Amino acid sequence: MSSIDLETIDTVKSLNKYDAGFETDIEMEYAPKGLNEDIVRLISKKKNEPEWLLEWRLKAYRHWLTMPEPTWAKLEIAPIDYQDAFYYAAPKNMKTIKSLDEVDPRILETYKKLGIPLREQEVLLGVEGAPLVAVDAVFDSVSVGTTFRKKLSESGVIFCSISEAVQDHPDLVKKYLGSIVPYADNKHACLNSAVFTDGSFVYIPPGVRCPMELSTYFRMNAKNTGQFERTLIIADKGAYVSYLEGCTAPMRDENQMHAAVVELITHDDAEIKYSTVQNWYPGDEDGKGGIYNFVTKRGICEGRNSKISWTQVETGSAITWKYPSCILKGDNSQGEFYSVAITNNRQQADTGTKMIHMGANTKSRIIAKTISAGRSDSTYRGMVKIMGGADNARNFTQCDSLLIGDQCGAHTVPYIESKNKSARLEHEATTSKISEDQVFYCQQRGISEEEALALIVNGFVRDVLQQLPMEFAVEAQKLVSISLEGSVG
Amino acid sequence: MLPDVPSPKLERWKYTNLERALKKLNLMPAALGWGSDVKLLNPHAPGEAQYKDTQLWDLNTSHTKDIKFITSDEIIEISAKDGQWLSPRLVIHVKDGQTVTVIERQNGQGGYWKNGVAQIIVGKNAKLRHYRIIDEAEGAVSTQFIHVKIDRDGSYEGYNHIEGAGLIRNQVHAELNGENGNFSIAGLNLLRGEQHADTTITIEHKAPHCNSNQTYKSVLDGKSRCVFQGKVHVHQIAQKTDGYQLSNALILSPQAEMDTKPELEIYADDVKCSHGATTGKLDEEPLFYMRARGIPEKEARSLLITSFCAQAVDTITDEGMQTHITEKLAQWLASRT
Repeated sequence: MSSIDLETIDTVKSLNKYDAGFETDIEMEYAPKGLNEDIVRLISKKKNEPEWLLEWRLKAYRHWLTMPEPTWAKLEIAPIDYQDAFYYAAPKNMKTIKSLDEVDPRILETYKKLGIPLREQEVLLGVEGAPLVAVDAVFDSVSVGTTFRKKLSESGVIFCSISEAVQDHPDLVKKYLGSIVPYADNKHACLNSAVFTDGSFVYIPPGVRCPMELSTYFRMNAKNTGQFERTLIIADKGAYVSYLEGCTAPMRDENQMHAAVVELITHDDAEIKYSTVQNWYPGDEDGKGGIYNFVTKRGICEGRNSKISWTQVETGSAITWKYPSCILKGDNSQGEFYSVAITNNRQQADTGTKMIHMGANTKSRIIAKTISAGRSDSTYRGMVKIMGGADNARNFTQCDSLLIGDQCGAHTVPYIESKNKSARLEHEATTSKISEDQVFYCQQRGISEEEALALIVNGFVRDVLQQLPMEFAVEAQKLVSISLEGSVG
Repeated sequence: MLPDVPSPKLERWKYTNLERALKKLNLMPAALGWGSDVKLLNPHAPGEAQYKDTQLWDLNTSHTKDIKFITSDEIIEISAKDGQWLSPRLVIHVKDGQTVTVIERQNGQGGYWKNGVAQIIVGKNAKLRHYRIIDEAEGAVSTQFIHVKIDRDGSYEGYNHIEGAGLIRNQVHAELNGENGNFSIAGLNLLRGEQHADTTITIEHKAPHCNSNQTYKSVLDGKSRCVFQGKVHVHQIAQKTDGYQLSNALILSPQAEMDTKPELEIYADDVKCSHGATTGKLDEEPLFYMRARGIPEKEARSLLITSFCAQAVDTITDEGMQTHITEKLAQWLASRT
């Protein structure tokens, strides 16, 4: 190819504004296309799983066959052909790797391009004094490596891929897997239970404050595959962990499915902070291609005084169907949900949270900011439920929507159910557009319309971005501006 | 012999089990004697596909023997007797430029079912004041479906005073079809015992420059359950919409339950829409303040509840009616044990 051609391709690519849309050319090993019991058995065999886990997968698969597609969300989803996809795809010769040096350099290159440092010394050589982040990198169906293992294990923290955890810590996995999101929870979670391939496993022992941020980076690379990851995080008594999750995928014309399940457990006085920056490929301007992001995330505050905090920035995916939830079981426990959902072009998002108050003095706080542009549609759907025993429970909910252009839609669907006299619940929601006065003010001072828009939008989502760990906040801020480019004028 | 009625499996009936309540009653179709020789304006239930829970509307159409056509000020009383299944139908037409006040009183004795429909058309630059005082018997079931169409510069002012039935579903569907229309609805739900009251409001903004306003206050005592579902749907054409919705609930007893679902569905960008919903108990501090100044506890509580309800009562522009409602509220509070 001549250099002009390459340049043209680069220009075209940058026009599409999805920097993570490149593809890594690497030899992959696939399971046969389609979905049936044999595939489930094959995945389980590939992972060398114990009998109980295979049984569990098969039970889930059989149940999945009987379940209808969930249709209650405000989404238009073309019928999904579950047989037209690969359920297992892994880079070849992955099995024998002992350290990161043996990982295929092309994979390392992929992560480098995405700005994810996988080599520990690179992190150290980077900015001095920067907080350390341990990374578990998941490439299609398998985890290719986890950094800083040694350092983490010194303090007793277990951070590895879930397939390793099945081998090394079967008791913990058996005890908690499916305990919060049972396999029959919903159709997508059920499919995940049957065919999940990898994901992260975190266990923080009692009294330990995890010495660094933990992070998993999901990359979908292979064509026609679905990614089904499973994450399980357990914070034992008095433990604390902050966990980050990032996602990208190449630009393709067909839709790919991503159905993840995340389960969090906090015991007495423990805290988990879970942050997501979701930037799956959203499809092109006409809505062609893109990822179907069907995610079930749920945490339980099992112990007293425990806390779970969800923060999410959702900018990608053709369709987002995601409701990170908290079950506040322990007395005095707290749940938080901070969300920014941005949709542009033909994207659709239906996202929100569920806060189930069971224990006394439980508190929850929901801040959801929704921005719709182009011809997109986004919905906040949430539930706050106060059970009879949740004395003095407290909830505050704020949902704000911003509409940019008159072809998009923004909707709010909250359910507020109170069965306790002493509970106090507040809910507020607003929908508006960017004020012309604000834009005019900025333009008068020499700031272009697009820049002014980015400025105002960043102000609008600030409450949520402030909750993100520093490294993520910068990335998220950039994403917010990029996602909205081309939506004015 | 019970007809098919919506089940809680339907999203819009999630919190209300009508079938269970009707099964407890022994019903025979009955009539009020109004006669049915008025041409119906709309035999079929209105609304777009997404609001299609039209079973009860259609049931009223096929069973009604009582149709009243109203074009001027009127006071209507609908009283039911034990064992009756009534299907009254009101057709209210306010002609262009006119102002009409309609007062509706609903009551009865024993166990009965009222499946009522009101079709309302508010003409250009016309105004309807529609006050409804619903005080049904403990054993009664009431399902009310009100459909309002508002033309340009038209205005609807509604107030629903609900002291209950055993179970009541008050469903309101408004369409703002012309520019500068105004739809305002307020209400009080005063519930005790094992009463169940469900208020479901849908407002469709189908023209620019329209306003809509919902102000609802619910006071829950005993084992009562209250449901408020309010939806504002702004169509793409309805730029410059101003929509506001407020639902406040006061829970006085440990066994009461409040379910709120305030929804916004918006397709136009130049709009101002918001909603607020709160659920809570009486504030202890002002109570203490008043008692410290020699006001007996019961009286102090009544005062606080009255002020909690004031915002809804104040929306009534007819002074006589406002006084009447304030008295009704005081009576309800006095009868609390």
